[in-house]
Amino acid sequence: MLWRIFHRYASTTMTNRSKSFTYPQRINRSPTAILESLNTCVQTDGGNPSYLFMDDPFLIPTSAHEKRQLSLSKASGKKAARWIMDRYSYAFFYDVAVPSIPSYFPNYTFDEKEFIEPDETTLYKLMNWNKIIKAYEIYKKCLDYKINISDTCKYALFDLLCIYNSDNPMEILPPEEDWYRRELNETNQSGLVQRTWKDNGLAEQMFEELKLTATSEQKIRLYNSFASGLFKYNHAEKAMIIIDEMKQNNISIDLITYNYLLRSTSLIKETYDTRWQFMIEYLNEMKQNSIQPNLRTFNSIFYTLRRCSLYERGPILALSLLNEMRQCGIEPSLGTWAHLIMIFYPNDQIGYDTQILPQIMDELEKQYELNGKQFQWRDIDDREFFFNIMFKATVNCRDVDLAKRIHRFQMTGSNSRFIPDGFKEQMYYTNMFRLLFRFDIPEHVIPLWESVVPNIYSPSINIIEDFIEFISTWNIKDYYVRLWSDLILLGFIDNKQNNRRIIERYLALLINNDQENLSNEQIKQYANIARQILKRFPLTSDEDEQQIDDQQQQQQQQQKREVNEEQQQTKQLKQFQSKFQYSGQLLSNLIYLLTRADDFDASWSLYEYYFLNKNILINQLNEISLMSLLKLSINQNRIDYALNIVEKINEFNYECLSDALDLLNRHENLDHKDRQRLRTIQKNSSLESAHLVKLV
Amino acid sequence: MRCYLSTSSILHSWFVKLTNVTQVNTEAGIPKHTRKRNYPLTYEQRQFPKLIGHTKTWNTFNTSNLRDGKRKAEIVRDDLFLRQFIYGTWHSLFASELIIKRRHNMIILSGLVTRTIHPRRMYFLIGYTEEILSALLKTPVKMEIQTIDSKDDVIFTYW
Repeated sequence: MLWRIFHRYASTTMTNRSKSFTYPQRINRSPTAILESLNTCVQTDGGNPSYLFMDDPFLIPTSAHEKRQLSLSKASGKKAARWIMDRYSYAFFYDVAVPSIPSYFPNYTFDEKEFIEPDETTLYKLMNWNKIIKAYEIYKKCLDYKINISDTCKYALFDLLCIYNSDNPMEILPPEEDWYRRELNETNQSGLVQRTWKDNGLAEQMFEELKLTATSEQKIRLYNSFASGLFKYNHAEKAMIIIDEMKQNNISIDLITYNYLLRSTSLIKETYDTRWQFMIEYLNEMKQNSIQPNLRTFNSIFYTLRRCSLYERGPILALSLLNEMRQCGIEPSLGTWAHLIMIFYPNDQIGYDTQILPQIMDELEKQYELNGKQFQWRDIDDREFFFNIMFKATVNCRDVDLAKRIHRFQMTGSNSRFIPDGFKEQMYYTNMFRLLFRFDIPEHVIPLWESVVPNIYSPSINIIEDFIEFISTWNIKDYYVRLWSDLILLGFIDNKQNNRRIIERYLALLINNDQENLSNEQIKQYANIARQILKRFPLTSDEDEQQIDDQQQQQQQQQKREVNEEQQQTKQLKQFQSKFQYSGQLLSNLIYLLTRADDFDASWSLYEYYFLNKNILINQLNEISLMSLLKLSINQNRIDYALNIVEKINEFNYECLSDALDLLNRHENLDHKDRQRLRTIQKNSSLESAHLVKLV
Repeated sequence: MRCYLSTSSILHSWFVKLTNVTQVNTEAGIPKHTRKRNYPLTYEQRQFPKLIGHTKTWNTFNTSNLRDGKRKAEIVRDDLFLRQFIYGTWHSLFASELIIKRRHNMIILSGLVTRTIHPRRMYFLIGYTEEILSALLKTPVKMEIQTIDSKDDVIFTYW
């Protein structure tokens, strides 16, 4: 005990401690610091649905179609609430929040009567409310009434006109709609560069006006805004004219204009070399005027290089540009890498040998660690990164490990927000899985598939077909039944045209790959699947269809007295859509599955259905199903049915007639009439092999 | 099955003792046995109000009634409004009472909802209620509902 005290005392005096104690400085944290740090612990998780959806099996969507429906209906509910708030805004002004939350208040409605007076304050208000055309009209009125407006106001209005192309800015879509923006924005789906600048629009008129009265400083601002606007909306010729004017009048060009200029080089010059020369010229000018380039400058140069596809000097120039960037102390953003990838792999065939993609991934992982495990949005081109890299890794490089590495990188932290919309996400996963199905083994692919489907990614029909093929080539028999429930979950078992292929493909899978080693359990499960198909798509015979037609006619006569024609049309459409087209092939597969589970009644009813509706159904019942039905009926001692089947085999002239006759022949309980029938069948058949069978 | 009971101000006086059944033998929230014993009760209804605090908890959870708790009256007022709003907006869909939880400045509404309407319509209602209640009460409002097949699933006994 004493020794311990002595020891402890000794140890504290022995160490060299500074006599003074400094308090650590307080770290100022933002109000949401705790939330942000919690956020870094959470990764994108494939086990739960997106936070948008309620956590209840009835309300969780699994197929892509459902996800879109439900998220958009939620957005529509929010819009309805917003409408009510705007309509009855007097009810929403009671405020208990400190500080008050602006988004919980109704939007300030634009009241026409307030803004009649042409005044500078009116102009500012209108500009704040994004009503730029109206602001321009008021401005004109001010000029007519000779009211003085300050220069700052005029130039602010002009800047806005240039930025928004003489039009009011588009309303920001809610995030759920924004996710599907590619389908909503149907005019420019391919992303072509189109000239959208309005010639002789309000911006140009104002430009002409202000040019006359501008001082030299104001002229700088005026010309720069105008040139930037022209470049932004892709009117490159006029923009170059303006640039020349600026040079003649010694007006300095600022960084934003230079950035836009570099970005639009591909519209100004045709050949790749001239484009590069042009950019070098302007970069030298920038250096002379001591304007420091920023990230946007470099990304614009990369963008132009990318549009010079199949340029031999392209990759070399790009790499030297990267070095320049590092020398200037600008870290490359995801957008830079996106452009770099497209420069190195201009189309689908080239670029197998370069090792640039793994190097980029190394760089990125380093950057990620350095940035404290998070990436920021630094440039608008960042949105293309993941799509591009996965596309090129799978199509050009065909490297499975690289694809998995990219995917792992995308799943860490909150990197998944760099896939900005639904279409890009679909294509990202489509590419990845196409590659994996072709080149990888099930032990790796199936866990990856399960981690992503169905909560993060709902596959499209092509990928599902590839998946079924993958499973059939690798003979993963335990997965077949699971696959059926997955298909229902993902919405592929319904009456649409494309999805019927899936059902046929799946049934072919079940039948081709089984043979002997199936356990009883699996046989029963397959038969259950067949029954489920029959339940979902009930068989309707000809008579039933006629009855439905008669009913339809009666209903139509009744409904002619009713008002709504549209309802009639939708009802008719529904009745047309509900008929599922059975084919002989499908029926024979179903018969085969059911007979293996010894379900005679169901298979016999399918068999009869086929012969009742033979004129409507394509394909015939195939041999395998007929033979198995025959075996089952013999096992269950139903000789009449068996003979019926043999007669039908004879009609179809199938080769298996000899086996059929033989089977029946060996059966002991045939009485005299049945054997007589057998002999008549043998006589009537045209196959040689049938005649060789010795009948008792 | 509603019966409107009359109450009298001399129910508990010391000089007059009433003896009629409809005014003396009644307690709030406790139904009397029916002759056919077919009046359905949910589990919550079967736990009578006198058991609150013993085997039954409240339907709202907030800290206003702790020491130094703030805004008691406003929270009660908001609760009543929320219950009536949900009752009116979700037309006979809620099969249970609304459970209101308050966490920081958020209000979280939970309950059991029957599956009588399509998920599309349900999400429309969810988006609508969340948005409009947040705007009215100036606090984030979230819904976390669970669906059940029909109202028969919550029946516990017949009284």
